[in-house]
Amino acid sequence: MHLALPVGAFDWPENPLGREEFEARVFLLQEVMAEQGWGGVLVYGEIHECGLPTYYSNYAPRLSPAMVLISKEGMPRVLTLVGGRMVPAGALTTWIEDVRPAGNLMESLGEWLAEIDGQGPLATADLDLMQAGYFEKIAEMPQIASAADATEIVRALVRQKSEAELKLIAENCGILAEVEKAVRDAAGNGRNPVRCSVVAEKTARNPGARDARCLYSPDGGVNFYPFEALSNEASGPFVLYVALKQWGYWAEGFITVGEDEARGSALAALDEVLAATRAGALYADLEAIRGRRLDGLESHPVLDGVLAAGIGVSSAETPVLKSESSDVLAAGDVVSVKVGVFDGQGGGFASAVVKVSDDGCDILWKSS
Amino acid sequence: MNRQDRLKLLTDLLAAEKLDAVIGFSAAAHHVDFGDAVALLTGIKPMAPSFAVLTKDGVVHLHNAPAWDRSRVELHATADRIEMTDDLAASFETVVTSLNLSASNTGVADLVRMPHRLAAGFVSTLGGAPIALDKPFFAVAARKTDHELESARGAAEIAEKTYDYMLEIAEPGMKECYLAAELKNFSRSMGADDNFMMFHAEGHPLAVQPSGERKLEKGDLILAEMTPSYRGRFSQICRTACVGEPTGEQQEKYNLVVGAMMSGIGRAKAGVPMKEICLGVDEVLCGNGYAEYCAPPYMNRRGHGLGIASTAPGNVSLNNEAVLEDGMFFVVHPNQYIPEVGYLLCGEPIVVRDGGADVLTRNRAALDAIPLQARRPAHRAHHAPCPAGRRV
Repeated sequence: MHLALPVGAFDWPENPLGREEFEARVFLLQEVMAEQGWGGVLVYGEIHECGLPTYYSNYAPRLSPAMVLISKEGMPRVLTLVGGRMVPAGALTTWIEDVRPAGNLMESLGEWLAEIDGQGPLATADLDLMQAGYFEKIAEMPQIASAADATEIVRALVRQKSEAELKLIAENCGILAEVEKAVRDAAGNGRNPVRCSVVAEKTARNPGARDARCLYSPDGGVNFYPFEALSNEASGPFVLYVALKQWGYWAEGFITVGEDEARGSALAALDEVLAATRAGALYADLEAIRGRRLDGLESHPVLDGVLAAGIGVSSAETPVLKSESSDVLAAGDVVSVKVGVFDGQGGGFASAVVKVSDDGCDILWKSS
Repeated sequence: MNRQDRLKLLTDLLAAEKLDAVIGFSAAAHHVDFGDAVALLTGIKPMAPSFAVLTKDGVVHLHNAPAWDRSRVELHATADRIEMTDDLAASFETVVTSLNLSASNTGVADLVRMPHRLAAGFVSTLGGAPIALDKPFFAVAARKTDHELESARGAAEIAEKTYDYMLEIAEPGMKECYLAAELKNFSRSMGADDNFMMFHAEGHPLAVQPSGERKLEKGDLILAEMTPSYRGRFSQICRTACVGEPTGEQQEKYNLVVGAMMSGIGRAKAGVPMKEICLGVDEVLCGNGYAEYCAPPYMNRRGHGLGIASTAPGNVSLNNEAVLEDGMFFVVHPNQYIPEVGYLLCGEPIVVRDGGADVLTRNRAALDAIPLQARRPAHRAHHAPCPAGRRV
């Protein structure tokens, strides 16, 4: 359940990645644009899913959707769809100097499209996220109507992490470890799963996570719930799913509190899956191990069939290892590996965030 | 007003429009400034794009994603039929076929907020563009149900306690974004399921903004829009606090803005148009020489309805002719730039009653002061875990 308005550290001067990192990303995309013959790329983001615009700008829309407009040369532009009065606060969060509100979306976008006119066709990334009400305003613009979908190409560029990104992701995994410890302490002091989810979010936000989202399972991993109200109900073994985002990068994991046989099985299966996690691995390879270790039990529905997925500016980056996917793990991928089992009566979960290498993977965080 | 009364208003709307059904959509993109058609019809705040259908005979069909959310939905949704789905397009096709819906006999609400490809698929399934009922659909929820008002009261209480907590812990040198995070944590611990919190500080603010990394300084005005949601219903209070003792001029101007707010609230009662409240606010400010500031960019609106479910009856503004009715709920906030001192926030959530406004807060806005001396170490410890020296 995403929150209406994230809060937390995000101003550009404090950004640990630095301007060179962002300029290099834009430069790399501009090289791809030259190869593809594109005159510009429109990178779109909604408040609740803004990974790609953040990747290029550090700008994360808080009050309205936004787009980063990248032309073949020069500085990108950030266009926020509404909220002119809020632009000064948004401008503080990005290295890009040209941040402007779209008073009239057609006119503001049209202005940029005119600037890149004659340089090649337009391409878009994540424009499928755009709300129908906005899209109908721009759909008939010739450049939009004929735009190439660059989403997969842009996601491929996001996939390989720099040293600075890896450091940041590792730091976020450190926060996740702090969250796990705080949750165990709180549970030890008698807090129930709902109260522990409050503790988890607080522990994530205190060091600076701008977004923290939990699902709790008070029935040992059968059903999962978002926080909707406080509860004083006691609980047996319970499971928390925690996702946190700091400086635009996510970390996530499952925390199980209390002894639970299903959790033990999931953890053992996770260890075996991780032992086979390396460059070249396919979903089928890892799923076979998971299924064998768990006697063929189906994956828990909360995982939507995903055994592993890239994690970074989005919690579902490329590669995504699920049944209908042909994605292959590559060296340098950072992925969240999740094993969840449901036997009809109870559930068990274990997960890890790992960096994939040619001969294995480095564990950045793992369920204990 | 209860759920059945509301459904009756909606089926009356369908009858007036000669429609067989209305489909309400939710993009699950929750926001204080927008309604949520699924929440309005079923009481459920979806976690993924979902829709609900109300037929002319008053039956509500909920199609909620993701499918694994069944337990929560079955526990809380007020729908006659519940289908859980991971394929919204397929569910839509099924329901359109089974209920014999088409573009000509079906209205829609909030289709425009769905991701455009999904929305285009729905239009195609209906065989054309359906009738957009957004405005009248959300208008029927301008009067809140007793349950919604109870939740709004709970949210207002959390807002006040969160602000009181801010007065306890804020101190010079503290970054506004960390203070905002701490307040978000606090409101959560009080039971808030969300908190749309515009919160920032400046010596001479021009408008309220989301939080940044600026450190609080002596003489700052902290602008706090506390907007917690309790059981799916947002409420809002607007407050201003000075870091250190406020000057006489700041105090005087703040009293003026509070007076304007109370003038506006004083005009709120069933039967008068919403714009009367705005006129009540403006009258005081204009009478004190600020007529030229009673327009953007010096102010935005004098209040507004709050999501989720429906933001009707809309903005407290001069162009809102909506006639107030018993049970309507919104916040009244002058939120005004005064050239001598900067932007000042004050606002209270109210329920319209036949005889006047029921203000949901215990305390009225006042210009508060944050002591300049450091707080107890226990308070600072909230911020001690910041691991990176660069950010403290």
